[in-house]
Amino acid sequence: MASEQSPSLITEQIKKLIGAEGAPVSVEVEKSTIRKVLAALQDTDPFWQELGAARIGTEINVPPAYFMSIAPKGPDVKIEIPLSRNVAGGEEWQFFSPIRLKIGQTISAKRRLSDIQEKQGKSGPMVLITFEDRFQSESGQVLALRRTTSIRL
Amino acid sequence: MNVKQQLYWEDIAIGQELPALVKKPTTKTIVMWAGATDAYGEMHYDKDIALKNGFQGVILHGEMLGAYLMQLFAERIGARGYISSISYRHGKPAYPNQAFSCRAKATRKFEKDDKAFVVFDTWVEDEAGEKASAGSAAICLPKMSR
Repeated sequence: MASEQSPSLITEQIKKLIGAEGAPVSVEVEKSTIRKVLAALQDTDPFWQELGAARIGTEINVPPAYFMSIAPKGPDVKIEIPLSRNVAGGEEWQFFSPIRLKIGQTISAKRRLSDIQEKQGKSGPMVLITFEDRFQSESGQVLALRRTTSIRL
Repeated sequence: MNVKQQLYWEDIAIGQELPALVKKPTTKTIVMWAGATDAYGEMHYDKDIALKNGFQGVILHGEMLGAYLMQLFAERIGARGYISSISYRHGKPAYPNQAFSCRAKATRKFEKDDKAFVVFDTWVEDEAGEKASAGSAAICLPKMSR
């Protein structure tokens, strides 16, 4: 969206980047990672206590925030925008059942650049960059979906 | 609250608020979250850079506020309930060393594909009573009759 005085910050070259995907990443579900997420959240809910006795292959309840510990790889592209400040805009998550995972199972995650939009903020133009992440099991079952938007100011 | 107590779809009325979840993140919390999620943005640990970018100090990870909202629901809905969807936008910077109140208010109930859902407005409120993050969530709950 261009203002009357200046052209859009989103060039045709940038628009062509939409749809680019990052290389998939795979992680193993580890007790230590789940513990770190719970500890950071100070989440002492006894519902997660079965984590303590779980062994490789044990299926346990897992907090949905666990998926935030998996960092999908962004596409290998440069979004050249002359706005240097970067803040988190927000997220949307989808889950499909109570989350139960096996210790040691593999989860793959893939990221796609899904949208780039320019908007006018109170103090000037801003660009919203949205990624879509897909988390799935080895069998291809989709475990979670995330849309995450960052804002360049 | 005993989390293993199951919440049923019939238990929630439109307009009802879930008991709030109060969180008090510190700068140590920021470090722990960064380590747990591999999120090392400088504005979360470097005060000079945070100030240079117009913040009053280091800021909390927005995603962690979203995790607080997830915790709010996960603690209250029981083993057979789950978050079907949750979305939130970060409206203002959230600074550590204050209490945040995570809240949810039911706005709609519906059934689809043999499942029952309650939709909540949900938000994280700082000590000034302003919303640091806000959005909505659709929670799938079992029905008593099933």
